[in-house]
Amino acid sequence: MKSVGIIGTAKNTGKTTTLSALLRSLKNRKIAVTGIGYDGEEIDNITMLPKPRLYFEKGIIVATAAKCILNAEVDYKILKKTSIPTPLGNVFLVEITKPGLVVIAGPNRVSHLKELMKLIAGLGIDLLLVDGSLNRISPMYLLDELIFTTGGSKNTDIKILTDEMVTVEKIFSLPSAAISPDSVSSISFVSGSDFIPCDLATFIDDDDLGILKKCIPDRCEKIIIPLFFSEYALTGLVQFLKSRGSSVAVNEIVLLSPVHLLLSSDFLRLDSLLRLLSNSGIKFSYVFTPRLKAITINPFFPKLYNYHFVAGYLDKDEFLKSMKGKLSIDVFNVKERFDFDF
Amino acid sequence: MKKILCVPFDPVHDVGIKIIKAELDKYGHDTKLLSPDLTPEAIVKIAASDKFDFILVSRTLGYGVAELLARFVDLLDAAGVRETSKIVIGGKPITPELAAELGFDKGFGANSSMEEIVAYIEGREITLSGQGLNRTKKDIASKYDYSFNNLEIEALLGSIADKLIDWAKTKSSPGIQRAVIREKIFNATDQTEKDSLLKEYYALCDTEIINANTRGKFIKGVRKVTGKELENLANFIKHRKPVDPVKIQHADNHPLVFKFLGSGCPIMDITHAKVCERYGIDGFLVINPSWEARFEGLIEGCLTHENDGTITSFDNIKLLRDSLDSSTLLTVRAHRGLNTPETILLAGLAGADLAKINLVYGSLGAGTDPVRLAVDGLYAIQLAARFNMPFDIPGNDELSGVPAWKSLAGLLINVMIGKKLGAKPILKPLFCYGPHIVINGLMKQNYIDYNTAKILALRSIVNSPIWPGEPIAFMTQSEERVQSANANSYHAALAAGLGVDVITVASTDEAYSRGPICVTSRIDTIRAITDAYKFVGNASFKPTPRAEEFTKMLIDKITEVLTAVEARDNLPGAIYDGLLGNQEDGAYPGTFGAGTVN
Repeated sequence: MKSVGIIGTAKNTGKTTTLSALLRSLKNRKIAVTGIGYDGEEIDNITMLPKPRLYFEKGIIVATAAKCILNAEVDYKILKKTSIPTPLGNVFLVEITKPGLVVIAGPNRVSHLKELMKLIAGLGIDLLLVDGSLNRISPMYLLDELIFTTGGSKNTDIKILTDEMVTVEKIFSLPSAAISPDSVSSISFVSGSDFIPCDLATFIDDDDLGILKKCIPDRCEKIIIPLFFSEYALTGLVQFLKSRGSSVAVNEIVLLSPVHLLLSSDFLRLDSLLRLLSNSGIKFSYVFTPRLKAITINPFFPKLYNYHFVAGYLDKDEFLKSMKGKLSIDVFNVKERFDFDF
Repeated sequence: MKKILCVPFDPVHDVGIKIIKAELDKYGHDTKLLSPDLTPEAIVKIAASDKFDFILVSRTLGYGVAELLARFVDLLDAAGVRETSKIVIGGKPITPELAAELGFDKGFGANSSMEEIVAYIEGREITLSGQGLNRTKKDIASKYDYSFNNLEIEALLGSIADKLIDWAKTKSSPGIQRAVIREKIFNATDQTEKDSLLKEYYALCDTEIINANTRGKFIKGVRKVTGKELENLANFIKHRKPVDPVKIQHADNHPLVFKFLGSGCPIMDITHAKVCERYGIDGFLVINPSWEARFEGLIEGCLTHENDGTITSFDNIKLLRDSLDSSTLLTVRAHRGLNTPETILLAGLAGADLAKINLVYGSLGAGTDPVRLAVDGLYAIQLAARFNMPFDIPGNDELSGVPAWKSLAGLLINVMIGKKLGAKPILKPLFCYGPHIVINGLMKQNYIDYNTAKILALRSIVNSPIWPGEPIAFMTQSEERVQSANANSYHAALAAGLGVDVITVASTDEAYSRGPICVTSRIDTIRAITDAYKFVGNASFKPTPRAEEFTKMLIDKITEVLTAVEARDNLPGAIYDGLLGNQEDGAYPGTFGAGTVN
């Protein structure tokens, strides 16, 4: 089973429209759909503006919260009532028997998505689509391919939006570490075939950095950080290793996934970190390497006007031209018809 | 004991989380409150350094904040904190849907109670979402014995009621005969017998009713509700139970709150009713079309009507009753027109809880001939007693211009008749700014004294339930919704302070809707009253000394009116003579059914 996730850089960047485009282009495939938040509702929970709905054809498997499916405007057959909780009840796995609109609210954390993916894999599904929520990304590293959505809702400056996506593309282009996900659970130093663990629960601030620095053994080629880290601590580590020069032979820092790197800071600060890395002789690699499939852009943004939100739009042609000029992967405007090829 | 990290994820608005922390401390939980100036990363480090059972996050919401919260959830997830700690969001606009969107395990919003939060933390079941209203049906009349404190008035009323009952005992009407036949039809098991009874029934009906029932030729604007409409309604009710129960009353002794139904369409009535139930409404009064009052006989079936007033039929009342929560009370208007006995019968058979009957107002302000209504009304009250349905007596003749003392005298006559016939009457004096009040400046100084005096006067006379209506704040509302909601809330607070049993409230657009009222304006007044009850609690308004003067005046004038009525041979005669409201007041004896009593 292939799995594809849709990640937003902010609310209202076009995740729902992108998912709808995927559903449209994947007719006659055995697909399942879930989401890590709440999507497909009629009116936005925050801006109170109308939202695009999610329409599901007959035969699609949907994993959504009990309350959502019970109120859905479709007919369905319940395949399984899982014990995966959400604020709207446990997740139900259903097969759509009469097409219509459904709100998607699925597992909202890593371990629950993992559990659901196992269940769905057992149903003989070709493709699992995982809808994102807001700018949430943490569970998405489990998936095979990711589509990023960005737009005026994240920033109204097209140049900044483009630079951010350039950084995202760079981050996803970093190599796999060829390490089994189950082989490490704590920060470890690799020396030859030896794994030396370091007792740190997080790698966030100066204290954590200080402890880690002291723990680095004299002979160490790789440092594996399979947990949450901040860009601040990671930059500090790269600067430290760089300042030590050839006396420290560390040439690789293994992170859990590009998603974790994205989580560690904002995109533009990460670009500075990548530039610092580029002439340090050190490389980043990942335990999990989801592929960046495409980027979709949404010129629409909710604009504050007289204390309420109205629709605002970026220049769609300029936006698309800017993105396509700087990125090597596919870029689509969600406001225009587009199809994905899997 | 649970270990809880309290996170004020907001530089300013941290009062909510502080209150919750203090409450959880009282329950013996181990809480740690963070300062409001920490970065998300710093909070994650604290959360990851110790195993907390719960991380409670408090935050006001605006555009952009959702992304901050979502990233914070991601950080906790990436740090593995979610495997040991449940993360919970709290804030005024938080709903379960928003909590799901943000990625939290649970969300508590403006309507969440502390009990609910503590129960969640302690892993206890609490009757909440999807569990219905979680209340029991109230018996409004149960604590009253109808004993009289004013013996002079008791004697006058006793004589008036005895004379009326004696006068009516040899009389009958087509309305009574139809009720008798209708009950036989209801109990008949054999179709031939039913057909034969229906023939007898139609012999007592007007042509319009016969045509509707036998040929499907309905009065303009009336049609049958379709099977598909009923199916859709059933689905609506099945999937949309009142969640997160709301209670209007802040103190146990606060009055129940009723609203009107009567859009013409029972499905629209039910849709509105289900929304109102969600906001804690206690009961509904069903109002029938005015044309129904003019015809002998009722149309059968589940019917919709494109103008004001929902048609009185067994199927319509039963549909309403079955669609409401079992704890929600339902009263059916019966005292207007020529079908009072049959309406009470259908209400009783369909499971209504109360019925609305007033022999005096029904004759003076509602168009029915006094003789006909007296005869029909007595039979109807006996039926109400048989079905154990209390009957509520609206004093809306005051709106025609009748002075309050005449209206109150009429209510008391009904109470004594009800008492004598073994029924349970409920007094419904008006909380209004009626014509007589306006003309005489009785509320020029304030709206408290005169309304208070009505309650004090009635209470000094008889130990009966009191239900100001109908609705409260009548003639004090304007087209402006905020003003209307305020007017209702002030009157409700006054009613609560006076310790009455029930109030009826309008919507904020009731007088100005220019058509069907909208459900949001129904909620306006319910929410306003919920706040008014909370505001007034067990306190009350202090009337000026004028209230006492008004009370004394009302009792004296009620006594005068009743003395005059008692001097007549019977109640209809007194009504014809204008003793309970005359043409000068703006009240005219009705003419529907004149000459039909045999």
